[in-house]
Amino acid sequence: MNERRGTTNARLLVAAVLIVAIAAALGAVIFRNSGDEAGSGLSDEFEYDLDELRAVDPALIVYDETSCTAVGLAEPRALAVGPRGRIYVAGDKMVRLFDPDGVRLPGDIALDGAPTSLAVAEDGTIYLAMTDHVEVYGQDGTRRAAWDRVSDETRITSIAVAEEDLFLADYGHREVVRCKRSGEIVGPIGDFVIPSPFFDVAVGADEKLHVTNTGEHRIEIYTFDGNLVSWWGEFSNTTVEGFSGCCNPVNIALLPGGRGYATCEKGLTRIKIYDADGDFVGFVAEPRQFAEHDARKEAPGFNWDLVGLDVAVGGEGRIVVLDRTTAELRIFAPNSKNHSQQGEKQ
Amino acid sequence: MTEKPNRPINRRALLQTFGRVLVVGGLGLVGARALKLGSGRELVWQLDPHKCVACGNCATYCVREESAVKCVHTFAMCGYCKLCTGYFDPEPLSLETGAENELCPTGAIKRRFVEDPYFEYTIDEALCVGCAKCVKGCRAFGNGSLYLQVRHDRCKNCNQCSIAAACPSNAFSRISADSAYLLKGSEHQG
Repeated sequence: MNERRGTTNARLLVAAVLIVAIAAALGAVIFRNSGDEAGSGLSDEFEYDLDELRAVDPALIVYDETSCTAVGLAEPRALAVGPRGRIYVAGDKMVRLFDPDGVRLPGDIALDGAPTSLAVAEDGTIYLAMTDHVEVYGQDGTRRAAWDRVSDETRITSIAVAEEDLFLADYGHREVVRCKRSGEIVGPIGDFVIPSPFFDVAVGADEKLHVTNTGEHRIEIYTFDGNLVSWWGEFSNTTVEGFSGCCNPVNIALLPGGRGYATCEKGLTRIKIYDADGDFVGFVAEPRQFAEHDARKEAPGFNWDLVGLDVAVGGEGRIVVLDRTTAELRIFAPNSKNHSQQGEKQ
Repeated sequence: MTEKPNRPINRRALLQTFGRVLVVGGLGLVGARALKLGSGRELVWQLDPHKCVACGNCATYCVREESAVKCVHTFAMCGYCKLCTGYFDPEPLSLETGAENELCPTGAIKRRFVEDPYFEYTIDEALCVGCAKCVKGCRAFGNGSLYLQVRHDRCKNCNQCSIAAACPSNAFSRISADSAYLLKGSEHQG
């Protein structure tokens, strides 16, 4: 009897040791420090934190968001507002239409290639940049022309249309190319500092070209013949008046009647309003309103060509924004703090 | 069609069988290893810069006192910015090469004037600790031309890389030593 009891005790002991060992092993696997939560252990000196720069006084936000619509494109590239406030979004291999409130309209325009930018003339003609050349589409979505390639290195990031001319922002050559609306190239304009692939051109009510010179943190104004008239803008990460980072603003839109500009920045993702002299007016949207955008750009494998917002001016003073990263069309309307809009209404 | 009787297996027979399996298995492993070496497909650790989230773990989790992970720079992607956000602190006092303006805690990035308004930035690997602070700065505003790579002149190629185990984005993998770096801008060059 004693021998058998001794054997039973030994078995129990072995079983207990095994259970403890298995529990310890499971614990080690489950609660293993994978490093991401514990952090690197580096001191604050090694931290890169922009949170302080993202903070904005709410009193400076002079627009409210009125709608946000998923555009339903994998890689939306460009935005334009056409006649009657209709919104055009180009991306993937199509142009998708939305009404002035951001509601999707039927009748996508299918394209042969992937567009990089677009502009819509007053008569509804659609000019699409296809990386290195322009294609022209009618209001009904039929292709009317495909122009010759500008050059092998050309990379068109923006198109602006005037009464008789078309202007292409060519990131590949860091210059604006003036063309006739028939497709004939007139010649290059300017010599810009564009470190990243965001280069915008717009035609103003003043019949001048307004071009982003992002590496110099300024907007330059040219005659159609290519003469520099004036410029404004400066670098600042710490004051809201300046443009942040290495190269901003990435895109601009001109307010109606030459009243000023809406500007988009990357890095500190934000949209601001400046008057015609380049004086800061307020925010359309501040960095914290782009939390999802900023989170997505931190994801592994993010396509950095989509990081810059595109902007256009819609009807009734609204600002239309294409967030390429989240594939959303966001519309902002002036709020009660927007004195410039109130003045216009009176 | 007579069935074989079930003979009891004694301890010696069991051990002999086990021993044979071990010997054959071991020989197989040695053969496979020899084949792999013979074909020149030795594997090394590397991190995919497109998966890297610049967490800073590379600086502290390497078994080496000075991490084998260093910042590298793809010049073809660089904007040669006057205001490089990988080089300058987010709130620089001025755009000059004073330590008070620099982002890198160890001063491992060198700034050289090329022509107005362009500057070239190079990494002094002896000073770089692989903390990825410049990587974050470059990615926050710029083109992401600064990124991390395991430098194989320093890496001990451990069986289980301790940085890989601590990497929150699973950016580490073993790749062929024949193409031991995952350089940005060369993705489409095979």
